[in-house]
Amino acid sequence: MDDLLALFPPLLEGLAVTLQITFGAAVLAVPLALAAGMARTSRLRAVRAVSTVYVEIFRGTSALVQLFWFYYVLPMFGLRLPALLVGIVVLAANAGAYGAEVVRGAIAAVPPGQREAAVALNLTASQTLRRIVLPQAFPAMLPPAGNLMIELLKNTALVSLITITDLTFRGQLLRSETLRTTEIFVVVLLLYFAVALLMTAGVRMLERRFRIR
Amino acid sequence: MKPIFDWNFAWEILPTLGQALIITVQATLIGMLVAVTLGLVLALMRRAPLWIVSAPAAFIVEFVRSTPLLVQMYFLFYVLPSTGLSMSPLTTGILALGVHYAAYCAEVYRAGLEGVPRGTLEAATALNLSRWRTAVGVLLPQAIPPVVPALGNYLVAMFKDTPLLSAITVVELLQQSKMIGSTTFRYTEPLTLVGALFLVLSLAAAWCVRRVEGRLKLYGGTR
Amino acid sequence: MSASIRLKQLRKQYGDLQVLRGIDLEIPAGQTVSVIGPSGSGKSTLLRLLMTLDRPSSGEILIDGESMWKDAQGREMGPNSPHVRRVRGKIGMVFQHFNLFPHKTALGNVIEAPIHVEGLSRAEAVQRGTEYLDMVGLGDKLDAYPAQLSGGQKQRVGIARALAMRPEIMLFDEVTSALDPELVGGILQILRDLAAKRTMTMLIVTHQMKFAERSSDRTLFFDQGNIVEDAESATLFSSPQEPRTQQFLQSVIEAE
Repeated sequence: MDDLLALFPPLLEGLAVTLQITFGAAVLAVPLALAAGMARTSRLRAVRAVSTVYVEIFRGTSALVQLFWFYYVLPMFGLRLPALLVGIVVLAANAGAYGAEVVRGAIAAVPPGQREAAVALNLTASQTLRRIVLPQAFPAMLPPAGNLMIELLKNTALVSLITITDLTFRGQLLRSETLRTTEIFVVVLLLYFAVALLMTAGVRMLERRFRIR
Repeated sequence: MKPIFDWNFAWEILPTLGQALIITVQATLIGMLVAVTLGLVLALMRRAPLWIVSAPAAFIVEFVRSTPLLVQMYFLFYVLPSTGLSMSPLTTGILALGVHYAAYCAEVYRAGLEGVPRGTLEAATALNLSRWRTAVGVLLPQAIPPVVPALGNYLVAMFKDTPLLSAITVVELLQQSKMIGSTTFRYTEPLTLVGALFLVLSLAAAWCVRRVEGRLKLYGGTR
Repeated sequence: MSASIRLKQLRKQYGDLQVLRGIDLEIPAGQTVSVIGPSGSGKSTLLRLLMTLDRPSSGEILIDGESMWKDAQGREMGPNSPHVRRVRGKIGMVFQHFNLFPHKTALGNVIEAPIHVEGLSRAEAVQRGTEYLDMVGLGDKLDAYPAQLSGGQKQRVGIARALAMRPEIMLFDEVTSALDPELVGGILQILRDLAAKRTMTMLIVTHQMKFAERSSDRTLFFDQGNIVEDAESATLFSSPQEPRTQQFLQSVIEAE
């Protein structure tokens, strides 16, 4: 039993890194998703094109391939970044691409009558977006955003393959040191599960707060 | 000074990557077969009136969906051999993919099954159809077509997750490109090619899924 | 203050579908005009074009003699240009499906444009908004959200919201069609009171024939993208000249 308890400190250290990466990437991904999602519906063709390329590339390729590409190829261009930064930025870009589609869908789901009423009242395009469309689109974004957060949490496990000492990395390390494979991975899985449950509860609270009466 | 992207080199490694691609596609197709079958079983279990059947199914689905595929893969890779079951890394990986995506498919099936109008099932009872006939002839034919596009999307998602197999020593696309990189010290070409391959193939697959979705809409299949 | 409307050869088509075929129309300032006709005849499209929600395929719209889409030099302007916004500011619209902002209270809906378009202070806007909501009988529902209001109440908010911008032209797009029958009368009474005041030019697309006959100066019968008949309301209903008008009115009477 003692050696089981001894597993926890290193695993919890790994969990701390995992949470760091998750929240760091999430914080970056949100503005990215909002910007790209709105850019996808821009009237300017160049803006639409850039955001579409970004979204299609990061959604159409594998997250792990993206991580490896940025980790191994950037140095060839002279850019040597710390692994942690690469992990956070790439995962943020990945989540942001999926988030952009959520944003775009939520904005498109606002009934066209709302925009028509805004035009009839002579509100500018910017006022319409900021004061009428986005406040109605936002509650619709929360449930899918919650799912994306969980996907992000799961994707952080991939950074263990580019040498970041997250929960999965620690789990692998402990396995090779102690050979207590089953116990270690069960604990690791349970830790991820617990965090996911907390995140889901948090999103549900947000949904309740922002519901349009 | 070596060029940033050596097209000749890229051309040379293409056949090697092609062989790895076959492994990737194999894993995706067989994995998906496991996922759609196991997912249907899980979804039907969740609808069972017996708590002892539905509760474990629900828990498995929630647990598998909320935890990383990579860790699940490690778990199967390292734990299964000790139970006497010895499988190749590829088989283990396919199993992991299949189980992970079965959980997603179960949710998709759940939506499809719940969307079947209760009235049609009551009509089946009124006609004295057996439970089996009701399931096969009334329930599933209405539940499955609307969810085919969603299943198609998961096929594409699984395809993009096959690089995780590299972590359990399967020589698929990513592992192959890493091997090329570590022997030639040129990572740009293999990784970019792999990225491009994924992009092209997943865009093509997504296009196919949309086509199928369009066809299904014609026959009133999707909601 | 009311404005005149002049349409010159106004055409609108969507792909191959001709919705408005060369409409010529003059409405003097302050007139109340009803627009009737079968669905698909182009009546709603006419209102949408007047409200700048859509652009004409060809032809001109003149508000108080000023072109809606062309500036003083004759150049075509965009929907967000200062010129078009200035013209648009003279026109208001009430919608069939209300289109209230669900995330704002009744008062919030009404003061939104006065504050952000006209530049009123919040206090001034609230005073004006309360006035108009009182006028439509919702003085006690200022802080209610649309979800808490009945259809008739929602439409009253819609009317107050449009009126609060003091437009010179008001467009009403089948404003009672989405209401339960017992709520229709209340809205029609508001329209009648507005028409009697003669402070605005009013264009009312409606299926309420009795209302059109008794409460508007002039009625237009639309069919398949054309104005088939255009006459003083009492005359059009009592003795329609065109066979299609007669057909339409006959079928409407049978339905009632």
